[in-house]
Amino acid sequence: MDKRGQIVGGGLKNILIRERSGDKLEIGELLVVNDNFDPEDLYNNRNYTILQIKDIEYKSQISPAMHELLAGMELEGHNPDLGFVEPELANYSVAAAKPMLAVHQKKDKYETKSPKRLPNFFNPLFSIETEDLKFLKPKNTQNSLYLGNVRSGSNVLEDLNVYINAKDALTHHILIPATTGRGKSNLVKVMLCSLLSSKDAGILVLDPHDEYYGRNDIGLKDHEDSDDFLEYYSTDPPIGQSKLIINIKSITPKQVKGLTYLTQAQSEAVYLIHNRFGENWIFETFNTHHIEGVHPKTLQVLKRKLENILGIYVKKDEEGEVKLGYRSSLFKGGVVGESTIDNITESLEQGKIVIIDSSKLNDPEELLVGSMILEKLFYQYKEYNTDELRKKPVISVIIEEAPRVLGKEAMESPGGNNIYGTIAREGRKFQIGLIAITQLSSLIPKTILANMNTKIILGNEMSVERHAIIESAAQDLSEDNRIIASLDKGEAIVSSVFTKFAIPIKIPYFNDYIKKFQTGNEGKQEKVRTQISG
Amino acid sequence: MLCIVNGGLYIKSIREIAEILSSDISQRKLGNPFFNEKNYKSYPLDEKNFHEIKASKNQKKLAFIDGGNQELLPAPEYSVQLNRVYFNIFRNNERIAPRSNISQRIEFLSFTSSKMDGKNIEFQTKIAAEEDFLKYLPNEKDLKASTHDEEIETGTQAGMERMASMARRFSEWTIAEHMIDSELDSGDIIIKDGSLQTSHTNEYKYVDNVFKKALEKKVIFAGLSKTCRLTTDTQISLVDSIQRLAEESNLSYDKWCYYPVAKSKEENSNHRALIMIVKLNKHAYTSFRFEILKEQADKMNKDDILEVLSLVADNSRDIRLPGYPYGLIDADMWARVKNDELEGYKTKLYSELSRKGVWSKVNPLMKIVDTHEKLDNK
Repeated sequence: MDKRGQIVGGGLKNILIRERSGDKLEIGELLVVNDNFDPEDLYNNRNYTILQIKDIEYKSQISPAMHELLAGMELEGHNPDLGFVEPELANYSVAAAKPMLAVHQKKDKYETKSPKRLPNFFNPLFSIETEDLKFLKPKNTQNSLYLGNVRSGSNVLEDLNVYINAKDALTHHILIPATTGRGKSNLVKVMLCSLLSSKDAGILVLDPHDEYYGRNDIGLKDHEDSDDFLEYYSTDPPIGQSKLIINIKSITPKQVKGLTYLTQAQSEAVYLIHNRFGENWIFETFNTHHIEGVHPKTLQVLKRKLENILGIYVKKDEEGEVKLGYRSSLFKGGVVGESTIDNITESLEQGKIVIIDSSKLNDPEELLVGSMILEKLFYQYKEYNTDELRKKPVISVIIEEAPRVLGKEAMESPGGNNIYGTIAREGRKFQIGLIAITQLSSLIPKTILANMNTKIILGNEMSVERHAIIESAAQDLSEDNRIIASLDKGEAIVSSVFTKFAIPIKIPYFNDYIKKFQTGNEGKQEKVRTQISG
Repeated sequence: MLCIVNGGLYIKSIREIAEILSSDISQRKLGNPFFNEKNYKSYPLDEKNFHEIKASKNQKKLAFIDGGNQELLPAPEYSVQLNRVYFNIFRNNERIAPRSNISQRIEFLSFTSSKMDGKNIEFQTKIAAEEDFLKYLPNEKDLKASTHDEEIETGTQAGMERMASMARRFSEWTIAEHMIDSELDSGDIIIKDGSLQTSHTNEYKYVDNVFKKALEKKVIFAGLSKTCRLTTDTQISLVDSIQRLAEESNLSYDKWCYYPVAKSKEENSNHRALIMIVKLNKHAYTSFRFEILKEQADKMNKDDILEVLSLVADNSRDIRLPGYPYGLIDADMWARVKNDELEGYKTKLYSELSRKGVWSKVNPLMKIVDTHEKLDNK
């Protein structure tokens, strides 16, 4: 083990480390300092502290004026015949590092604590090694959510995978703050891939870019267990997958309220119609010009609003009978699609991953589909007693552009009491959580952000957004602003109440990662028929 | 009543002094090096004595040694000193680790006491050091001296300080001897901070030993003085005279050596040196006095001397102090006993004295010589 640097000052907030000449330290790099120095005893009874570099700056034994003068002489061609004898002693870098974790290792047992003492002054620091983080390895990876490999600066510890307990993490909500191009989709695919074979988690994926299933590329469909644990719904499904059709009878007034603003009169009218006509309430709203107890103008406005958000319109057939027309391929009347929501919730309750291709849906349609599924599940799970619930898989929903449903505006709007907000606040009790993806964390109320107990932070160049994430992180990331800004594609920091410290990770490239799950996949028979529910 | 000096009067006084000074300087002629002719042969100033120092590809080692000491316990009849000697070795401006197991920095405490012996004051010094260091340090027997033999102001604190620094001075020679013996080879150069002159009766013995060793192993022994109080016979600084001569001669050399300035005569056992003035870098803010052991210099021609200086000049390129060897900058840094580190040692010594119940007797003695320091700190 080569020394990387030596402690030369600072305090618990920031320990100052002189860098060894030529051995470039990196921002975000993890270092280890041993607090006991008996080499015989080092691996049997060892105290050490893990530090992370937060900043690096130039230092010199020589005054800045001297440097500037010398640079001037060189630049202006004065042939100075001057320089630095032993430049490695005169000019160097000093890194500021934060102690992340104090570890006591006794043979194979590790005890970790938040650092409350300074490591010994002037002690040398070493690069972190797998052995130093052995306590991160879960006893059982079967029900664990894989996120990537430990990363020290830009160096990846290939043999140290980072897992968090899937049940805990999913029910306590996960936030993935990421701007475009930082590897968000890849991360989600890796996470889903690691969970796919687990019966303990049912994941609903609202996929607005149709990128997770792998219709035209490698995707989750290529996982060896995809036949058993993956379902794909699309308004335009490939052969063998399910067509996404929602029968308008499945839609409730509450869901409509979640999609559009209704005045009190309109709201009352909707419930009245629903009470009177039951599941046919939308059809009857369009079918009639007069409903007792509803003002004609109110009814007219309701029709217009339903038409706008659901794309439904009235048409008459050759016999003059009123029929509903559907501009969106999502909605249908009659009997088609009546069981779609039931089928999806059932699959989720079986611990499957259900991907909804919402690429051809507009925003309200996508949210409506998600709401319908989640509402049904939420109330189902709410009904289970503790024992029943314990046997059920945890449910999580992946929602992109989360501020649409969790943003201050969405939450505070009259129709804002949406199921996503309900899950964010109460879902944990009923084993339902969110995986919220957003570029704009600052739009989500602090109370909701604080409840997202795991944050997988990808690079973000927007200062306001970084601050929103840092303020709500499970660990103190107040010194990580620059580190977050400098995260490259595929690099992330996992800050979670379920991790010992904010772990820097490198997320593997999905196309490589899935190869682990493709063994024996050869010769798999493709399904031949598109399934249409109901 | 307090009197605050009026700003105008202050400036007037400065102008007057500047006028006197400039008039005096301009009237003085450069003159010739002024040495005691009994002990030295000096050479008149001559622009032909400037020699250009050129680059060299010599791979010989350059070693530097310096020492420092500071008083921990000052009293009229006692002085406890913290002493430090440090050396380093370079080849091609790269530091070389010592071959032997000697520590590069040797630190020890010394206790010098005085007592009256008739009209003389007798001084003796005891050394307290780590066991490993003792072999590199002088014999306590040689650290005895009396005002009869030494040129010191009797009964003054300055006299006590001079005697108290003997241990450190002698250690520089003993450690230099070890370096020549164990660390250096034929043709290598050792440079001591300061001149090669002795200033104590028993110092000669140590100097003689180290010079013998240098001659035997053909290691060139040199000294470089940060300050030079030598003058010309017109009482101008010798260094300044030679620099002015260089200017007046429109000397085109970036680095030069002026020699010979003076050479010790055979009978001068206290100082065995060829003395020269050197400018070791184009950007040097001043030139320095440089000496080479006389017996070695006698056998060297001009090119040999310039070869040595070329190596030293190559080590004098550091931006911190252009024209002064980096090895001596480094040696000074590690040998110097700084005031702030002295406090820790003082506290430990005082608490030990207190534990032994003698603090109440020592403290009044210290106060006698300490008042000046206290006033300085007000």
